[in-house]
Amino acid sequence: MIKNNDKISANQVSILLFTTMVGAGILSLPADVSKEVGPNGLIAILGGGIASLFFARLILYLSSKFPTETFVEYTGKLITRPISIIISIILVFYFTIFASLDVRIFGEVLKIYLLPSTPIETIIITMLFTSAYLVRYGLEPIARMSEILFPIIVIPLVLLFLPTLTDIDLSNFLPFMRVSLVEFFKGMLVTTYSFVGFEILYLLFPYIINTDKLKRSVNSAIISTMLFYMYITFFVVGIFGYKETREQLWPFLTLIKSINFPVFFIENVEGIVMGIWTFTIFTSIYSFHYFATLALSKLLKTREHSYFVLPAVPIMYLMALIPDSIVTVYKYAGYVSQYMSVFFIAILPILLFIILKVKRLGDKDEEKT
Amino acid sequence: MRFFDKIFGKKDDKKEDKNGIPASNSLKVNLDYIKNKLKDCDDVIYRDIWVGENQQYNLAIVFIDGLVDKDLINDHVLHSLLLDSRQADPSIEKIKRNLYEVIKKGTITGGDIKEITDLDKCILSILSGDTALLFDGSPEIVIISSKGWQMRSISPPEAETVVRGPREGFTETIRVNTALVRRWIRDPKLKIKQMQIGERTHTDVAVLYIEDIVDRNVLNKVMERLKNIKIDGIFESGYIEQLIEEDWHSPFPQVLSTERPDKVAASLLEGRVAILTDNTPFALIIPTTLATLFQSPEDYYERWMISSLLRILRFLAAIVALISPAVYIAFTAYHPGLIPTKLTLYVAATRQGMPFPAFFEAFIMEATFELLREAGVRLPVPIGQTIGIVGGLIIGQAAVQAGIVSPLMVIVVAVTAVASFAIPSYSAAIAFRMLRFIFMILAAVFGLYGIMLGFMIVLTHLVVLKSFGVPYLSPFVEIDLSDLADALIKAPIMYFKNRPEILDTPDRKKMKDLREEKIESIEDDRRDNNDKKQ
Repeated sequence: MIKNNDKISANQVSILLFTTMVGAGILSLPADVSKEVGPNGLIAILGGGIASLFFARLILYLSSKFPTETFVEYTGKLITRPISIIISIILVFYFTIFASLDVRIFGEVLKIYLLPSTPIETIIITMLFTSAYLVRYGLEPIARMSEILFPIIVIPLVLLFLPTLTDIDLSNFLPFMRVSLVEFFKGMLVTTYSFVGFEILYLLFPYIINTDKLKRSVNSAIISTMLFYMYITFFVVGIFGYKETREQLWPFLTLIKSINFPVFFIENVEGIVMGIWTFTIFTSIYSFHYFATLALSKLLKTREHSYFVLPAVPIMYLMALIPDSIVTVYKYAGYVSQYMSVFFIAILPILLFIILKVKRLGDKDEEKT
Repeated sequence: MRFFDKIFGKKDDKKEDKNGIPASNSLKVNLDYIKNKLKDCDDVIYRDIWVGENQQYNLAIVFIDGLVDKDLINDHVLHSLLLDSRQADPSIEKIKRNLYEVIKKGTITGGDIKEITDLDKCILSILSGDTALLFDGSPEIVIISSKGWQMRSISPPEAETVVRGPREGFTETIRVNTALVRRWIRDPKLKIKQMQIGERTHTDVAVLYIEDIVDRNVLNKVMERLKNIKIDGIFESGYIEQLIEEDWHSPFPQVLSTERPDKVAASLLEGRVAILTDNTPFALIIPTTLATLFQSPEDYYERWMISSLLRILRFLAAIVALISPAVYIAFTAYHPGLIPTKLTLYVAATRQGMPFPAFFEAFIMEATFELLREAGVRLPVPIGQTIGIVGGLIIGQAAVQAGIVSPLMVIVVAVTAVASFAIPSYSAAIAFRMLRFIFMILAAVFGLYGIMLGFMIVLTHLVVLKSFGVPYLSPFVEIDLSDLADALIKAPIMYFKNRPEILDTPDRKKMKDLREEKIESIEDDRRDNNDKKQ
């Protein structure tokens, strides 16, 4: 068997973060922000991105204090072993839930747009097995896969929207910032669901070769994700207006449906976008799948994460099928992002940071050894 | 791994000790041993000769008829020993003391000789086409290199023709092949390490590399794996390829085979390792990545724009060869709504009254095409044309007229076929042609999603795959911008200042920046002019 040394470069981290964050969220993000902040979606995403960047850097800072340990190990030193174990278990579930949510939304979309007569179970299970096939080989192939798929995801999506540039009505973004601060923060909170994924930094640090460049790559990952979201929201809200956008489930796909290039023979770009979007979702699923199994293997102190890859498939499959309809899926997704994500993205890193400073752990540990 | 090496290494040493039969002083004993070993080999020729003024010294030469250059033996061995040696008159004392030395250094006029004292090695040399000269009263045996058999002359490489570029291809003789590479690179650092693999065939295998450029990790891996081969015979470099590659389950070739010396030389300069095998015109280049399978030597000889376009065309061709029948199936069976309405109507009209579903139709046609191709390859040229007629006219035309296949399907098959031949590497083209059937099945089951699944599975396989430690998809993964200049496109040659980043080459610089030089020369001119003016 091919041995991979399972270390990735800072550039790969950047791309892995981007592909992990960009997932099912792009479909509904314009609608979600429009619901909360009306025409100021772009600014809410900007705010969400900056907040995400701050917390991502905080998580990175925490991890860099324990460069050879993952979240599961170093939290044991900070907040006592039992609490650490409980939080780690929640983290494993958290990643699993996101993989399940992504695969469920993927199945629903595919069923509506491509395969109306195929049972959703088949779509979900094939996707999960494909993900398992990749995840078994570890981090290095995963990073390489993200690198390969990154241009395939970004370039066509960016180019596809350009022909609709003339349809944009800039007045759709007015009135500017006439929302209350509470509403605005709510809007920012909603966008966090789309930025979920950088929590993998909790686990990633020991597997990176050039950690000195890491800050820059985290910055570029989150900023480019933010710009990508803003780009899409700009087109969606700019064309439909926020009132129309917020009524739709997946305004992104509605916009795609309206695009056509009769000159280039492509009357309907849906097929292409569905193909690209399959990759987009795939990158998120395998990333969550991998980090869930990685956290679990660290928790149980096994040598390889690959033991848990296949057993995770039926669990994710069942979890994906729990919600009875797409509405419930988004309801659950809302709960998860409002409670668990906020905990893992914001509350936990701040808590850990305070404890770290109080206990004066980390750096000093290194100096001693 | 090192542990195993140690064990295996020791075993090897022991084996050689055990096998080595030292030659004795008596000519008769030595000859008897050789004759005994080569019993019933009627192509072996023994020649007893008596040398010296009174013909008192007994010598023997042994060689294999047909493998040796008879003229060389007659003129430079027998003539020298029997006639010329009488003209010169070394002191009798000297001869008595060491006849062997006198003959070896003063009599034989053949160019390439060596001495051995091991009878088994002597037999191996005889079997390789050398001539053994045995002496009475001395355990040393002189091996005169006299290989000279009927061989094919150098001819254009048939599988890799170019419009612009050298027409030389490798032949079946390893010596000629190494010489062809040497002619390209006149560098003392070009090393040719030769070994014999195959316990019965003792096939010569040469590992070529440039000492201060080669990626040491790759070289060590190649050497280690070659040493670990224990097999009775090596035919064709394909044996070696399959025995040293990392993943033998993979449909993709992890070693590039080529008939072109220029390709080998260029690869050596990039820091790769080449393996030449006796009896085959195919050299192996290691490590190989997916991008190198899409390169043709001509890319580098032509101007960059056309080369880049051709290269993009090849990548597109690979994708077309991979998915076009699958796309046909997916669109006709699952998503007629995704293609333009006019086309949908047209497809529906041509498929009117078609008895088979799209998948079956595509499968039959693709299988028929493969059948025709395979039959065409095996047949002699005149009949091969018949196959073309049968395939093109009778099957294609008749099947459409009979209403079994739609004309669109015939076009799809034809495009797929042409596209698969646009991939420069034959073995890579096979991989794509084979995977096409899997994509067809996936498309039949899941439509467009099936094709995407297929892509994800193939990509997963490719990102996991490594060729001698180098990721198979580099430089598209672990991105380095300077390497990308020679992957999907071929940038102007000015951009190839360094050797590929994926290889850990000690000497990185490939070229001095031409533009810098130009600026320097302009400045020099200006200075000269100024001097003149003053």
